[in-house]
Amino acid sequence: MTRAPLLDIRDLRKTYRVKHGWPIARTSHVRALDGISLSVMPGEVLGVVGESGCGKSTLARVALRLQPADGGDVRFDGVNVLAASRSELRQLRRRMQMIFQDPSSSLDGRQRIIEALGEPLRVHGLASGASLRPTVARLLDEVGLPASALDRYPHEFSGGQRQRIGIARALALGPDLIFADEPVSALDVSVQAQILQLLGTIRATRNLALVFISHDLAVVRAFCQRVVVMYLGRIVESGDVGEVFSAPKHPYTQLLKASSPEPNPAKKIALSFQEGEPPSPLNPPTGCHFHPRCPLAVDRCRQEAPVLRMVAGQGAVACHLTETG
Amino acid sequence: MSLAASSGPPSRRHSRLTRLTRSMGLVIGLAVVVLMIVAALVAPWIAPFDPDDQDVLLILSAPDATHWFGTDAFGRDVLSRVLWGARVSLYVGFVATALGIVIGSAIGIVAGFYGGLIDRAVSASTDILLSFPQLIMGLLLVAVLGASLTNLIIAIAITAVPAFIRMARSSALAMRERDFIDACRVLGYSDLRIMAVHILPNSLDELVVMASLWMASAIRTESTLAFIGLSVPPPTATWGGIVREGFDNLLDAPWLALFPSLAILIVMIGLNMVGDGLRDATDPRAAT
Repeated sequence: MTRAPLLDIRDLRKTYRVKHGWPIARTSHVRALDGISLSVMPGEVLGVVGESGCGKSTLARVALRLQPADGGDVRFDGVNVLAASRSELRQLRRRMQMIFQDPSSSLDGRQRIIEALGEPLRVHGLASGASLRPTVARLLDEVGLPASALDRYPHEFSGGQRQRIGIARALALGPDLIFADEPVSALDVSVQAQILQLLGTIRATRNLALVFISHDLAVVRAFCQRVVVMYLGRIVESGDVGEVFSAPKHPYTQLLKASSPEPNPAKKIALSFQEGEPPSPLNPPTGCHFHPRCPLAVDRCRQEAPVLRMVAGQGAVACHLTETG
Repeated sequence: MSLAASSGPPSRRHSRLTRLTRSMGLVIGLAVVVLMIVAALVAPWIAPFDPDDQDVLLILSAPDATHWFGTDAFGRDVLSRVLWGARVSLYVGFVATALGIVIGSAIGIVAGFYGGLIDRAVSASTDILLSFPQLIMGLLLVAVLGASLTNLIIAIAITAVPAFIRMARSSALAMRERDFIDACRVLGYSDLRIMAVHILPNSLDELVVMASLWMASAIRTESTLAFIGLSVPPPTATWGGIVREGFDNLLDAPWLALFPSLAILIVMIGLNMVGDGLRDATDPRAAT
């Protein structure tokens, strides 16, 4: 921990207001981010895992200022992202980028590839006129697409090719950090591997830091160095990928691991978990959010929310049981 | 795709047939409208007589070989007046709709994109404006502004603006949630660029379809206003004005009102066919 982190998020909060009910609407608060803290080193790949609705996508959107935060602090290379002025933000945009889950909806269907990839270069004054085409062609080459793709429209490509274009667009401004929001979930399994391989190669050659958001444990395990496990807006466990997945300390991580298929029929599932959906984020359980599904829950879990504490090794866990044990 | 697969051969043949007739409708409608516009443009050269030239010896003469559409109460050639009238009527319809689409989509996209207070204020005002019938609105405005070509265009444009605002707003509102707009933000594009380069072109299909339908309606409004005497003052020929003049002699000389009415009818049918055809052509569900 001698180097300064590239991205440092402290106690980030985001609450959505949802109106429901008729005729008198009641306002409920969804705590999508309930005090999230994490950091990413230059060139590091951090996985963020959790069920859908746990706030993983909101994390990326708030950190990139696509949505305003309600509290907390996001620092990128020392710059306060949440308070950045218009011109500071413009500079930050060149260094922080995003890859979206669904490449068909994240590309403007009316733009040819040369326009889609050339526009950011022109807007930021990185290339224009005669230098535009060769620059875009180089980007396409980097993601494994031929220069003949330049004059075609997004709908002429397959899903995997479109995601390559999405990656090329994220690379266009030469970022240091990319949020990848479920970048392979919308793709066929065979294509997933290719895209992951491509991301790995690009990450290595460009020394990129990645925040890799996914619900697929196997993918995270293979691709990331560190991992953060989220449950209903809170981080329940974080640490080295190998450590977290080989010996998960939080019961939720154990559940995730148990429900993730593993090619080993002899292996027994350690804990018996209650089936079903996570509780509604509209009305999260008191204390530890996970207690209604946790087979080990005690009274304290129902009353008091556990804090994320460092445990032996490098990880951190938010569970009362690890405290006493 | 699943729809096509589940529907049997008869309905598929039916849909192919309707699609064919619809695209034929677009072609026919376009042909009619283009023909009318060309006729209006070259009216000074193809009109057989001066539209304001009075011939006291030939008052209210029935259509014949010299005066194809007959003559009116001043002995003026009706064919020439209908041709010249097309210039005013089509010009008003075209310019008013163009103004409506430009102003309406600009306001609507801004309202839909930013949302919040701007959107609420804009939506409330459009709702109020839309609650007036188009004709009453046009009537009111012309009465206040005074009857002249410019005021007529302004009045009809104002009646068209709220409809375009509403359509552009809903389109921008839906698009704001799409990933590619977020991608634009992450890439650091300005709001103006996002609206002008990404939202507008993606809304244009819908807006153009509506514009062709609104042009028909603008021409109708102009004719109606002319009919009640609230258009370009005589002797300038406009379609509604000619119908009005013919109305006095409807029983003696029905051709006076008939031919300009037919012209209005044909243009409106043509524009509606274009609008319907374009809507089907740009409907993603129609594309297989």
